Amino acid sequence: MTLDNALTFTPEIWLLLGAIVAFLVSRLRPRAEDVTALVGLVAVALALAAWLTQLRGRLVIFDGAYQVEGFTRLVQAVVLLSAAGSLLLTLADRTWTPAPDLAGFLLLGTLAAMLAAGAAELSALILAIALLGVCVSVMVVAARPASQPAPAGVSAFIAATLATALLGYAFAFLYGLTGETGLRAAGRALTLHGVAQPALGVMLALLLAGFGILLGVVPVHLGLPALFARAPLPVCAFAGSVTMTTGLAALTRVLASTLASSSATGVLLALLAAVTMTAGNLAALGERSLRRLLAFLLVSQAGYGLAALSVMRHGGVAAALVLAGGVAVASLAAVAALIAYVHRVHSDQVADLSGMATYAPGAALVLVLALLSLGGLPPLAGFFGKLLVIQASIAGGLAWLALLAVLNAILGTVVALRITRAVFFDPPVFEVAEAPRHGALPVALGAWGIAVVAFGAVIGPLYGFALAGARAILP
Amino acid sequence: MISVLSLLTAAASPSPAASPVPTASPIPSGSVSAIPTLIPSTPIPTTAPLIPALASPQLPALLLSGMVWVPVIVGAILLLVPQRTEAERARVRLFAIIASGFVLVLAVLTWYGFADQGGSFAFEEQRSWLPALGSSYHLGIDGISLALLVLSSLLSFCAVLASTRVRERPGLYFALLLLMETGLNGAFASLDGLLLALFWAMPIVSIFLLIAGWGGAGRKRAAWKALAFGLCSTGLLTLALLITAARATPSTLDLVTLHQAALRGPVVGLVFWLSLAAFAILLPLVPVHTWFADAVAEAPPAVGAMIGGALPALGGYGLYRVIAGEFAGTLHHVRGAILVLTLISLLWGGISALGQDDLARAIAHLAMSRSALVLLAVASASPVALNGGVLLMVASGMGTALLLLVTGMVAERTGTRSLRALAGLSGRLPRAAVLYLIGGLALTGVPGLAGFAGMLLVFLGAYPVERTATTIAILGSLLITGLVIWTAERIFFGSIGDAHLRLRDLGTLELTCGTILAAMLILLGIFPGLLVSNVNFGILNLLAGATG
Amino acid sequence: MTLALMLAAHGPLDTWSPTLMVALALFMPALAALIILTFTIDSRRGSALMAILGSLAMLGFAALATAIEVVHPGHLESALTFLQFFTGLPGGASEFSLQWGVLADPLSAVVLLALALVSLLVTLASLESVRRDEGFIRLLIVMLGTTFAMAGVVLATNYFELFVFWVLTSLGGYLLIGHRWRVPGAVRAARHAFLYLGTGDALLLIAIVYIFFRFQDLSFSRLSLAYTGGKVSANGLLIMALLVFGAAMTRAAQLPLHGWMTGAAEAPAPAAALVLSATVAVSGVYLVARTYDLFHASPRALVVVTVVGGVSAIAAAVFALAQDQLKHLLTYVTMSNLGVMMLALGAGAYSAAVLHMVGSTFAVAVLFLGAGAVTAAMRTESLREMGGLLPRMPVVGWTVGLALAGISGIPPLSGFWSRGAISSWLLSPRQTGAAIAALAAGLLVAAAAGRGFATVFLGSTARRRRFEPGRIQDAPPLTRTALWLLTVLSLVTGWWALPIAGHGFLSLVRAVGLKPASPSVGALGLTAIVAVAGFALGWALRGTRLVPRPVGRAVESGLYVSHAVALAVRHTVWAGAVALGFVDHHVLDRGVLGVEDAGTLVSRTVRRLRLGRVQQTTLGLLVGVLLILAAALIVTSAGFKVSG
Repeated sequence: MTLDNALTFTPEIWLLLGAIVAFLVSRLRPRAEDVTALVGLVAVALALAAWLTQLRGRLVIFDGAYQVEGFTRLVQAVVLLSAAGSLLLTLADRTWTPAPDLAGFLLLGTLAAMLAAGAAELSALILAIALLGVCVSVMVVAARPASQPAPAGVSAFIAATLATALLGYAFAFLYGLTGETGLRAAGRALTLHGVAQPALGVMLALLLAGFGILLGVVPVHLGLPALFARAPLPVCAFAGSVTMTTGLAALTRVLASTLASSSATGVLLALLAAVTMTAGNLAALGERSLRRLLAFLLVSQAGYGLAALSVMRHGGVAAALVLAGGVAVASLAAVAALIAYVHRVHSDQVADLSGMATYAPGAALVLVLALLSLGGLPPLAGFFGKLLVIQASIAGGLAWLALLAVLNAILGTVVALRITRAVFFDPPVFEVAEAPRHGALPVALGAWGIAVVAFGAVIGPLYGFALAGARAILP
Repeated sequence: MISVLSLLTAAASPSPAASPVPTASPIPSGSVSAIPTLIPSTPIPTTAPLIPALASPQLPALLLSGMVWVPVIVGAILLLVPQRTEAERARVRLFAIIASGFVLVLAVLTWYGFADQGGSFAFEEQRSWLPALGSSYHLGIDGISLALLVLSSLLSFCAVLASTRVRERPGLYFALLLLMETGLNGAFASLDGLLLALFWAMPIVSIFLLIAGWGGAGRKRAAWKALAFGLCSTGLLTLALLITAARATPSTLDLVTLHQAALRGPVVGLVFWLSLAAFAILLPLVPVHTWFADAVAEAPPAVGAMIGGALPALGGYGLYRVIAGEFAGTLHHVRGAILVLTLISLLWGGISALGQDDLARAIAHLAMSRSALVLLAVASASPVALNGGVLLMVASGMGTALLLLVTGMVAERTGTRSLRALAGLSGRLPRAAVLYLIGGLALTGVPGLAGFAGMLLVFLGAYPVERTATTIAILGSLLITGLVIWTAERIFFGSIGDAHLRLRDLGTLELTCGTILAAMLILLGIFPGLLVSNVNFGILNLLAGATG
Repeated sequence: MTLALMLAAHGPLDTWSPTLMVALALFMPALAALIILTFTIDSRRGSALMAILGSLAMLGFAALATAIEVVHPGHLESALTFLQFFTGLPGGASEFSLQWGVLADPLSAVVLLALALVSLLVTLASLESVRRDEGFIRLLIVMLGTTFAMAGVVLATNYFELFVFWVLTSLGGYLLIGHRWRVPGAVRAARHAFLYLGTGDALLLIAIVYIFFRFQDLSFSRLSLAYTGGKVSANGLLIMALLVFGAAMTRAAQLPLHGWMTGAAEAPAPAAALVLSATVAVSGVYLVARTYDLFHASPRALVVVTVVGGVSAIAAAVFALAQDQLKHLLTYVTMSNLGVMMLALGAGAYSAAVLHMVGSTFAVAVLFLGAGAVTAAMRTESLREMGGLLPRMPVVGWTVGLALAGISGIPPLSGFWSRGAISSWLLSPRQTGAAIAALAAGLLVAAAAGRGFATVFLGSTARRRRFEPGRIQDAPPLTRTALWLLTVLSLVTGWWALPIAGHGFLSLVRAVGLKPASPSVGALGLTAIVAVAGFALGWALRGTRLVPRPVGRAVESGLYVSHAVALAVRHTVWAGAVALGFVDHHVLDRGVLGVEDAGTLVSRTVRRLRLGRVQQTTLGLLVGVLLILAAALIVTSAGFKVSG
């Protein structure tokens, strides 16, 4: 391993250093969550800078265990930006019991996500994802409000463990079937001497179940609503942006390098996608709790992601990447808006949003924009991913899936507009007191709100990068 | 092919100075920044020179974008300005009026400076946006879109002007109104399928919010219905466009290129029906019309005028661009079905209008019955009828808006729109009566008003192609005549009820926006050539490349 | 006056263009109306002045044009483009163009002159009679507008322009009849008028569309050659002619489309005079006269015109006899008169028919102005409450009497000559049926006229409570002047039938392919006998009720045609409206809402899957994993292979 190779890891290294500093600070000064968060922000910024210095070429290190190419770089960019957003929100959210090490764990999770994005080898991937899951569940427990009991953390922990275990089994199967640990090699082996159908089916099932738990794919979506219902909001933001992106990216890489040409995979993914996006939107349609509603909207986004992967060979990969980006932006914006209002009324019921337009107009606007974007209303951030998914599935010959996706976009928009009505037009039922708010909140609101609206302006280059990334990982 | 050629030359010309295009050409060098990988440029003839103001190569490039984006930007600003006191509310309204007035001025400039490109599009702007998908930020207008662009700008201006009674959340109200204007203008001006779909959704969402927020008693149901139908329309349109882009060769979303590209195979029928359904919802046609009357009736008056006046025009524009432009062959095969659809809608609208008690609902059904004639024109695919169809869209858009505005003024004074409750108002509101008669007679197609030329052209052009249908349509138009006369008689004539003895006549603002519309109706009634001279080339270009 | 101008016409007028004259005449009333609208809208005096000036100017130009045409009969057109564009269609349709312009030939010039005269004098009368009404200025404007529209109809050079002004005249009629918009009767009459006339407009529109489809052309002059060109079959021509005639029927109130005419008397007296004499009612006859080439090319259509005209003439005369109300009586007299014109046109007595049209125009104007004065004085419409008015209002009495006598053909008054010319034409080529019909109509209408005149003006004034006949006064001066002038006109016009200075009317206004008619002594004598006999009969019948009440009511209501239509509308269209509304709300909307309900239902069930507690979450996750496993096994074992 040469120095050059080692330098490849500079972003990760910065994150690691940041985490260490954060932990040290939190040991020395128990009540310094602002400081740790700032440290985290600095670390992420440095990591981003380091990321910028190495935009060239394709780096393969640890003989193929890690690959840094267009795909990885794009995912890492999304991850870093989302991590920054989540850190801002940890600054902004004033309600959880002081847990200064939260920032540390968040950085560790980001580090794991960065590694997962680049991992091209089974063991590296499983390690990264396990670390990510652990970080998320630790954050949930560490930063829960005094009022909240543990279960949220516990169930998150169980979900993460289950996901890791299933992925472990899946990778074991894959290794057993092919005798290879490198994804590319395994894929080649699969396509060379085929494989017994049941074994393949089991492997596929375990793979999808494992990633499905992270992404919230129906019918293994239960972890996500449970997490969103209880976990502190910054962690929800992290889960909705970083975890989503990473999970989708890792699944994409695995499938693309091993099973890209298996029609069985396509069909199974398409079925799961159809079920997931429809069920997610329908559940959100009738949902009364805003947090859960957000979770279910994310579930339907996972459905779109699977739909994209089911037509991987027809531009699906790029579609999935764009989708992930849009989802990350939108969910960060939505959570920021929630932070700005939910704690002031001590309720996340849709019915209690009636005063939001009056008492927190800016947050109301951002919330509505974010939800509309998740629903898929043009020309907001979420729309373009869906558009590309639809286009890809038409190109892939799955017209029914395209139609279903369109219908789901309509359904999602209806969901979002239901909230819009509640926010803007229902008369306020109670007075909302002014609450002290951290200066980071307006920054986050403004930044992500603008990002949601302006996403369309940069869609061209973004889609270009995504296409390059897709070319990089498709055999 | 001319259109693409000239478009590409315009796009490829390196700079205005070095541009082979004469500077008098309205083709903007703003589209210079577009795709560089285009064929070498060859000079193209430009027919009419522009007025000096527009002759400068940069202005046209900004013209359409300005008309599209100024409203929504101002609207976003309006969201932020304070609106606690009455003075601040008045200021908000003033800003909105200025914005839409500015857009109207731009529209008139466009109309004035419009020079037909002999097949290409004027004021083009093309910027690379989503090349991988074959989509770009591509604006441009031909005669058809020009006419409707002017219509939508005019209606938006009048709507903003007429919304004097908005007490709560004026900022949001006007922002949404301006968002609707952006959507309409954008849809009329966009030459890219994806762009079209993006703009298509804006008016629908803003209508939903406007009805839900400021509507009448039955606002909830009406708003949801309008939203459901509107989003379905958007979705169908998007799907149709994407399928076309996927199947067409070359695979692109650019409408100009698609217009040249040939679409073959069974997919043609699919796309045809998908897009027809999308447009039928907005036109509206039976059986997807039920949202229309509810929306018009429950919306606040000005918004109702926008819905009744502009949305059918949007649907009709889609029919022209896509159905008449791309699917002439398919259209020819299924003409029978289309005609049945047309006649059903025409008679359905006219007859059920007679049965209404709510004046606004009656007018909405009237507009529906009128816009069925647009489909008649499209189905006939005859240039004369198509010209008439555009005139008719403009005329009935303005006429319906005028009727609905007057209705709103009456309702705002008397507190009711029930035909049974109103009588003899022309003693108190003579001006309103005159405006109502002008609008109504314009809808019925009385000569001297805008509706007439359009109606006559549609009938003259459509008759040779489908005789029975046209005859039935002419006789069916009697329903509209009867309804206008009957409603006017019920509301304005006869002895006035004691309840309405002390009503004030129209105020200055109301009178202004009413008079603007009436004046336009009369102007276009006497000089329809003002529009047709431009529209016709668009029609010819449309029919020239019509395939499928 | 015309004679003087004719003499002058040999001199300087030779060089003047008649089309310019008629164009100026056309625009004068519109100009006056615009000036009133923009400047004098608030001053009754100024508006009245402008109206009079406008009408005077129109009259002047119309007289000049007529003089020129009389001296140099000819057909001149000058056209402008209304709309023109290239359609790219093959053949003659490659360019679409709609023209409008003015047409100067003897027919248009003469009718224009009559229109100008009536409009001027009626406006004069209106200055007093409705001066104090509200909406006086509105009335002036609408009257000017209607005159303008009618002038446009008269001067139209093609079907398109004709249609434009045609619809405008029906609009003018609607506004004039509904002028007193507070009176429910007037409003109802206006609605009836607009629907009847609107039907006519639709028929004319269909005719135009059909003609354009067949000939790709709308110009009268070009079409007059094309009709006989064999391009269109006889049936096609018949259809065109019948459609045009249908439009004419609604205007000339031919059976059964006459329902609007009795209501037209609801308008203020001058407006009624204008509508029924010179503009709306006459436009029907003028349409047939103007498009006579079409009818001439399709003999079957001519037969239809003859029959309809004859039936209407006789029936209307009978109705007139049965009337119990002054204005209705006069309306039906007018209608019978129009019927005679149609009959004559159908039978080929073109020139005579036109002469009759021009002559009776003035008479009808007199009738309705006078009737207005009478009803204003008596405050009643019923004939049985009138009587003995001649000494009290001599001018009205004499003028109305002369007009009635003239219209029913008492020699040597105007109608005598025109009716005589008609019957002499009918008798010469042995069109016995038509001749008999014409004479019968003459007899009956004369009887009705005589009865009406005798009942109103002779005998003794009926006694009523709270009504002193002593208070009755003659019409005010201006109205008197108008009445006298119109009467004189109606008297002299007929003499034009005789060839004066080589410019006999019958040889002046001629249809292509018809030999000029000349009045024969025998026919004139017959006409005179019939007329006098009828008048005497009517005189004898004065004051008596001829028909039982229900018949009378049925007749007054125009044979319940409009009632039937209204009933049909109420019971078909209304029912249809209700039914469609039901479909809208309970079928189509149900569909939408049904989808909504289904959505909410599903969403509830889906939300049930959301399990709160840890164990349940874990359980749910495991179940989900199993589900995915099952799905994967099914899919993979369903025969999908790993390709490659």
